Amino acid sequence: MSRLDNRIRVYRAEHRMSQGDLAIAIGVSRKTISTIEVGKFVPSTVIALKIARLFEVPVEDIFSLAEE
Amino acid sequence: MSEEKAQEPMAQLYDRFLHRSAIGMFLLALLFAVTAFEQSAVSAVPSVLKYAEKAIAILIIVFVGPVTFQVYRRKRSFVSNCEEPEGFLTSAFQKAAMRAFTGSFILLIVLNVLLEKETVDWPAAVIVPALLAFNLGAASLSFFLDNIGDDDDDSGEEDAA
Repeated sequence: MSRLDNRIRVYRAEHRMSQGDLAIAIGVSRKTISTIEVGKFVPSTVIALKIARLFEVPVEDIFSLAEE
Repeated sequence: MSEEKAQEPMAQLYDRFLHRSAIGMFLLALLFAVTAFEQSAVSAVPSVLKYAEKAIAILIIVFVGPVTFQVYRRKRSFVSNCEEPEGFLTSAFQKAAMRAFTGSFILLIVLNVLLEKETVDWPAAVIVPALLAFNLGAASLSFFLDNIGDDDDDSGEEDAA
């Protein structure tokens, strides 16, 4: 069983962005960002790529698979 | 206020639409439950139920109508840059619909067996609205249960501090 970890909160803090700012920037709702951050919602490839592009890092820097 | 709504991002508007739709589905479930009760009642149905039905119908229109119109208008005016914003609530809505369908299907099979064995003797006028009430109620409750919590709204500034 794999779990998808993410570092969105860290990157948001570095870029001084709120969940709402990030949501508007990539065209999703704030609820979507908050649930991705806590691991409740696994984002689609498109959302993951949009987040990575916004922070100008490879998608693997933000998302990683953790074995449980 | 209306200017703020006009500036509302499409994804946020779509989330609001899904929320309102779920509320509308729950109210519709109540409406069907009342109908089923009316049909199954042996004695005269209290007139207050008639008023309740009308009140629920008006509530559904008030809750769901405006936001549905807003989504429709936004889609038509091409302000949205995507046809159907993907997100947590869209996924939750689809899961809720799937669970409700599964539950209703199982219930239909059970009812079919009971009717064949003549254990129950309900007319279609009771069974159909009762099933609709179950389906809509299950979908809306499942949606609301999936959405409990996880609503933190921290700012980037706080994190960075």
